[in-house]
Amino acid sequence: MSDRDEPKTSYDAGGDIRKRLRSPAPISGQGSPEENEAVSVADARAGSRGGGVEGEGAVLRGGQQGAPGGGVGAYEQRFVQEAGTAPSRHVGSQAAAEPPEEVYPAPVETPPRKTDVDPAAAKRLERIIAALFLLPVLGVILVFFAVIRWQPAEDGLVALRAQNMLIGIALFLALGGIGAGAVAWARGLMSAQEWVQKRHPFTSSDEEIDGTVNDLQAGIADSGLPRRSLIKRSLGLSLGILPLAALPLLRDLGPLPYKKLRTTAWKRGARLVDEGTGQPIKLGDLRIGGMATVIPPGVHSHTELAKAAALLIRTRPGELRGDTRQKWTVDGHVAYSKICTHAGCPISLYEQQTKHLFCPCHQSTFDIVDGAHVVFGPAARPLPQLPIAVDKDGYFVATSDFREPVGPSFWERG
Amino acid sequence: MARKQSAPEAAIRFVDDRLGAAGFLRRSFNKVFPDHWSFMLGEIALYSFIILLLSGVYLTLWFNPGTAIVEYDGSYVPLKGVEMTQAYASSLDISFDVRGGLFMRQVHHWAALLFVAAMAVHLMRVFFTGAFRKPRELNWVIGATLLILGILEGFAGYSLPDDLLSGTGLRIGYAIMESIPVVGTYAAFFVFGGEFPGETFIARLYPIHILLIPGIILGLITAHLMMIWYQKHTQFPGEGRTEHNVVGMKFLPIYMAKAGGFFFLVFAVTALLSGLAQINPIWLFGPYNPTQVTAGSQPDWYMGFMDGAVRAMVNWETNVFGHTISWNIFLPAIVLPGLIFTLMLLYPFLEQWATGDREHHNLLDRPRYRPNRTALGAMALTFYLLLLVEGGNDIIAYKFHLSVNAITWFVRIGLIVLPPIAFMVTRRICLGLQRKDDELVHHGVETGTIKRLESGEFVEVTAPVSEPTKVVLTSRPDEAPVLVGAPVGDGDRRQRLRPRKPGVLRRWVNRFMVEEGGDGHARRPSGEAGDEQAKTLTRH
Repeated sequence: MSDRDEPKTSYDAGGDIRKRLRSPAPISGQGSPEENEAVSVADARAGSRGGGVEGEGAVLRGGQQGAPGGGVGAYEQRFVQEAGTAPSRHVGSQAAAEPPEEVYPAPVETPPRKTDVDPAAAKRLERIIAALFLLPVLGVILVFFAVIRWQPAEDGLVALRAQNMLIGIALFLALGGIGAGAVAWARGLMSAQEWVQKRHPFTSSDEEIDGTVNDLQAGIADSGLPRRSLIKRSLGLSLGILPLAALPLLRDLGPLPYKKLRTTAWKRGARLVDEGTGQPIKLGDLRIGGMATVIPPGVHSHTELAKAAALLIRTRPGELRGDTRQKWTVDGHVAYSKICTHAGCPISLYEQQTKHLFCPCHQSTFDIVDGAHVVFGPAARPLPQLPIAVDKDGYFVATSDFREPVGPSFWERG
Repeated sequence: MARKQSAPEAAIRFVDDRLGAAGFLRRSFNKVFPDHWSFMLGEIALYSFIILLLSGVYLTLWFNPGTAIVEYDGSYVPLKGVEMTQAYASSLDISFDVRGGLFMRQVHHWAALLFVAAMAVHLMRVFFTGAFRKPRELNWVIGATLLILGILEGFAGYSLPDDLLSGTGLRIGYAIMESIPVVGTYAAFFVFGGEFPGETFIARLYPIHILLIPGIILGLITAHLMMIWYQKHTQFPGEGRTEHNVVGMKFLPIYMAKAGGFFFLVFAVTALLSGLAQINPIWLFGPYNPTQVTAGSQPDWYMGFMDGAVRAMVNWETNVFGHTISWNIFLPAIVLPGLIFTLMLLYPFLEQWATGDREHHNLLDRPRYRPNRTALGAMALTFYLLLLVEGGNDIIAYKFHLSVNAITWFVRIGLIVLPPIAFMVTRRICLGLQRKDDELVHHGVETGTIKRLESGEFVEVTAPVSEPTKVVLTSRPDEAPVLVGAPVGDGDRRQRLRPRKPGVLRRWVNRFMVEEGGDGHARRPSGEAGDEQAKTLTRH
């Protein structure tokens, strides 16, 4: 160590340490005499210091008298030796009056900035920062102005938009002024000094770990838990069973499903009511290619509508084929559940050309002329068909509920 | 007592007399933080969470999570007289009849998007630089948990206003619960208080969104920061930086000023976005109605991958012994996210298992030095991005005049084909970058000057790289840890006491991850031979 040039800074010493750490010699404690001496020098320094050493001075500064480059290295050597034996926190507590010097960082050679060497530049930056710190004043005034100037409740959406925009810009100026000022201050005017700080192994010594393990085992043994298996098992049982008490207390989170998911509000004779107008639909109301969302009459509950919503579609006579139940159709009119058999979204997009129903949630596509079977997408089942007829007044009615559960699959669906 | 104390001295003495905290404070003031732009990603997440707390408290002053039906009588004319839940009506009131309410709603929403995005990018940084390695695995687990909680919290938040879009999201959520085998129907009934949508769910979701999850997040963030503080931050390799030191600026005043300033900057950008960029215009969607849906229904971005998985899934469903299993929902919406998040949470331990590396690491990896890890990350990202694209397949199809079916098929096939390709390409890029580094170190920087030797040979004159650059370029770990017989490492005594021969799978993974041949380290020219090799390379 000593035959080397003294590093200019402890920073260099750090680099040196790295090289040394890679070579096994110092780690195994067989360092050269010089290095061992370095340890003693550092120790001596630590010992000779009384109280009241300045934070900055307390660090080993390369090139400082009495602190050869080996000083830091010596620490590093101790660090390595201690890694498996004693945490440095405990080492630190040996010199109780004075925290160990390694806790505090050492300065690193840092090139000066323009503001460090040019007082005019520093002054200029100071003015800029002050201007940034004054922006919040402007911002707050603008927020007051924005809220007083526009009354969206009376002046409508345009006023709301203007108000919102101005609040955003004003707060951007206010918050940004503080933020940019603080960052510029930190970067330009506060000290640019870089520091190097030791990392301390926070793992405990093997002795400490052994002690902890022993104490833990002793504690367990003291409790008698391993021996008294009757207590152990009964306690385990009681702790295991205790959470069950929550189940009855949580019972009223919801009703049991029973058959609720299997039925909807449709029943024999229920008219098909247009969901938009609230009027029942008559034969002839729909043009060919037309479609209407229909619901049972008098149903307003979202929970019922979420199952009952259906689509009435008019196709050209003779167009319906394949899996479509012809008996459940009337003169080219067919009704399907609107609730997607995949994830339950109401299917709203009807493409007249291809006669496809398209779910906007996950793009499942159903062919309405062929039993609404799945043409594309993640849905696995066709949309359930609603049996319909026309009553004596010419209105569409359901002849029964859906014959299968509508909507997404569930375990008990079958 | 005659001596007059300065204000700082008085403050320190006050605290120390009561808590004995002077030493702690001194160490804290002197704490050195390494500097790198990528270390600020986590800060963005932290600051957006603070913004979320502030704007969220503001919103609670007016929001009413009730599901009773009211007739809207606020300022937004198009919806006057429309029947809607109190939740939706109060969300409209916040937007139109509370001064600055719309702004705060938008701040809350933008900050939420930013919160999750910052956490995701922060996670990538930590992954690709190996910052999760021992001793920081626990903090990785906390961070990954925070990301999962953030996603859930965001979903809960945008479900509250009970508009048409949020109700559609909940409808799908109900179907996802229904798809769970055996208990699905019961789970859905108990969570929603019966069939969808019921009348209690929004009111139940509200305390979960404003109290339960944010409380857990706050606790975990505290633990996350305390662990960073205690273990000290990692740093990138560089001149004077070792595994055993930290080079940077002191907490007081530089880091404090920068971090504090950065909070205001993040808040400023959020405010600007909220002022200029409309987000979640619930008044355009209308109140929730289970018979309607808007075209182009999209979740917020962080749920997009899951929605994409559901969209890309093939339509499998089985019906055996009277019981239906909806694989088309259960696999992409429950099994896949479960798998993704489990792998994410366990990754540090999996890598440790594969490499046998049990050393403490404080110097970050440059991603190129760990080609296999980097390639794994690229592979995961490719998979994720494909799902995200699929989550917006309808919008992409509409905007770019493409077939939505074609996009879906592209993603379906791509999910299988592209991740391995991403793996191989990334790995090659990493190896190439390593070779380039080696070449720079041994051969130097090209100067553009050609010299003719006496023999008539032309060579290019190169300049050696600068010392700081060289430190970075040669920071590649000497050798990859190789699993031989037993894991290497200093800390784990159990391993030392009971060396165990690794199993077949582990040896295979290990060979793939680190050993030469499969290793992913470019051959490093070393010593004279290397220089010779470098020269040879130069001359031809």
